[in-house]
Amino acid sequence: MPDKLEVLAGPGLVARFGELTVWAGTQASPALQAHLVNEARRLSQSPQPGDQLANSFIAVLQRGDPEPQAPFAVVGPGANGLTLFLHGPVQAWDSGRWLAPQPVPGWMVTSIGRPWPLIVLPYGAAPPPQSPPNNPFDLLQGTVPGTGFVMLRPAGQPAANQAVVGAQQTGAPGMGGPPAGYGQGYAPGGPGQQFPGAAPAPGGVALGPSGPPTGPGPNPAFGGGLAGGGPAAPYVPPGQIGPAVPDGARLPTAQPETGAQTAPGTLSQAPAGLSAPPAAPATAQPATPADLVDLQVPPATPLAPLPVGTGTTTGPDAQQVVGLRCEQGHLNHPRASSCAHCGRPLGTGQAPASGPRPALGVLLADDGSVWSLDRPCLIGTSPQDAPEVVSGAAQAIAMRAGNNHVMAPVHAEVQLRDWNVYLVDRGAEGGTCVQGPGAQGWAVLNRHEQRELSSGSHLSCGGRVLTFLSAWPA
Amino acid sequence: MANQLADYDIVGTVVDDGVLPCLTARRPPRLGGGEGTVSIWVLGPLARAPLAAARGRLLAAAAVRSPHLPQWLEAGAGEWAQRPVVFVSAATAVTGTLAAANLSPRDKVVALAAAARGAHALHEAGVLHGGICPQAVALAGPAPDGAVLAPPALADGKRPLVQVGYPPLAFVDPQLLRGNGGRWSDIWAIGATLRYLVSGSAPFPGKDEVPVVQALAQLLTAPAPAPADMPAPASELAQQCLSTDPAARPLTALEVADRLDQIGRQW
Repeated sequence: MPDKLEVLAGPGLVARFGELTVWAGTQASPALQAHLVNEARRLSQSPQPGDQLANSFIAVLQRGDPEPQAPFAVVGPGANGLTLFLHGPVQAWDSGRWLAPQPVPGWMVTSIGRPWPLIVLPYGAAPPPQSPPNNPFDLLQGTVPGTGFVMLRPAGQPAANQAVVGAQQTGAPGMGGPPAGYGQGYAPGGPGQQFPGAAPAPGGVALGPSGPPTGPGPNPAFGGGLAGGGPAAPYVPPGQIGPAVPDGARLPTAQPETGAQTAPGTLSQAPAGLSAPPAAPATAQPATPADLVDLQVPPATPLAPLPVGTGTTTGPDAQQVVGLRCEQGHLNHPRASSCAHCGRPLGTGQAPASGPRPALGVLLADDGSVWSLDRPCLIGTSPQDAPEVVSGAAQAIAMRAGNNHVMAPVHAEVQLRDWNVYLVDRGAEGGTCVQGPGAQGWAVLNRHEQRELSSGSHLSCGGRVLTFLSAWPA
Repeated sequence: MANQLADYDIVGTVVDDGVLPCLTARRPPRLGGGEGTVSIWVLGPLARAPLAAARGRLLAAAAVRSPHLPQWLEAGAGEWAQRPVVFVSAATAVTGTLAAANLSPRDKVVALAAAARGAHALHEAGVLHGGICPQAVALAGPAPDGAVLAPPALADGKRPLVQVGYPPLAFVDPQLLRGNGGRWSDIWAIGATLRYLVSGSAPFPGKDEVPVVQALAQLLTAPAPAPADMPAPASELAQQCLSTDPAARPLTALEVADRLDQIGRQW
């Protein structure tokens, strides 16, 4: 028999599908609310849906928090009991303590066994009074308005497995202890009883054995359609049209980025005004064996010694261009006065020569990364999947959008033609901007417009800025 | 401060200069070998830790037996100073780095020679170090002869540099920025390190990111000017290592090491 789910009247939404329950406050964007509901519906019949949905959010949060102020919660079965994922200004009572991300806003995830009652509320909200006996309200399935919910032990359920996880039941200042009536009346297992296999996890730890959220397709809210089954689709911030999966994310051992927007919560952190339960240890999350590379074993295949001598400075499959060749055979820009490779002077009457195009310069991103322009570049949240990148014709510059900005999987392109560099808008929402050297403001490119870049030009898309520096004379 | 990295109990800090922190930790029982301490280098922060991609290079590097390389134990991902990081542990005890140690110029040159020999051993095993800088030369015994190289940077040199921090941008070969790394890139970095240790100036003007960035475009086309205050033999070697043309640099790190030792003896 499923848990009883009493929805607390008010703004926000509560959705339940099978044993998976989600809540979102009004600060959550419509896109996020729709994603929560759709994913809860889709994953409700999957194994350990609580882990799957939580992990999909963790994967996104590793790159940054698209909506740090959006309160939402996920409750559903996981590998170690009931998985509770909290994000933003939200709090939960697990029958033994108040839980909330720390700092607020932030996020946290933990396993909580079956701690009836489980109360989910906006951060700082007063807990509801105990519902009367035989309260008829019970959300069986679907989506309804609600400012939170109370999950109760189903009628007739034996009390043997009931538990309070981790901390002692602690009273909440100003509230006269635990929520009135809750805890004692609904958790006869009593304080301090440990639920088998439900050890609390440090904040930010992804749970369960599910793999990377290589979601089946774009969120339907953004123009795509979700196939049934499969792992959880990652949350796609508004404006994106595809999944935003961190590079190399390994969910079972994922480590969150830190910072005000993406910091994971810690367990047992009480919201302001509530009693403070024992603090979580300040130590780092222990690595699992999967995180470690044993360097005491010999490599399976020894590497060949590195070659001695010169290396080419051309990219793979570089375009043939016409320039000036120095006496050492290095190809240079037609206007170069000395060889960029060896420094030897180039004569003014030198005959043009053709050869593979050398790198035209670098793109410097605002995160400090440097990208050689020996090939065209695709810029976006997941350009690595673009055919040009897969074929090796272009390189991927994967970035996440800046705060309050959106970036498409492939948002803009930097093309190389002869000795020139062009910025090309790819028609994504938010557009692409360019600021030439010495210019006072940004110029917005029309959809699919292309514009030649001169050295020192800044280009911007999705709230991120890259600077082009040419390797050649103007 | 956190006192644990993965399951290593951190018991001390050898150096934490913001570039390549080096820590001392208790040896975890699962490693065997009894009680004791190990050294840990923290590479990062690496939010997109390419540890898996670097696995082959790290294994190849750890298999190299050289007195100028630590005895590496394992690499892993963890969290340090509230940031996700990659770390490498080693059984070799480290007491400091060339960047932080108070050594005479002569001893610095000799220590750098040892590091260059370590780099050469890596090259012969097919591994580009990619992170040589003053912070990456560790002192594992009586200075200057006990110098060893810190773990390689995770970038393989065949793709454009996408992580900064370690190594500092001022010690990165412009060829590496072009995705054209090779022995010549480590040799360039040894030259840059030599120049810094002897003259106090990096090949790029200033230490701030902006001047470095501005200098990059120039360095893609022109060699760095020689500092006036460097002794001639060291200046000549540094300038040769810093040549824009990889072919104009010394061919091997072993050749650089020999010349450094010679400079040290004549200092």
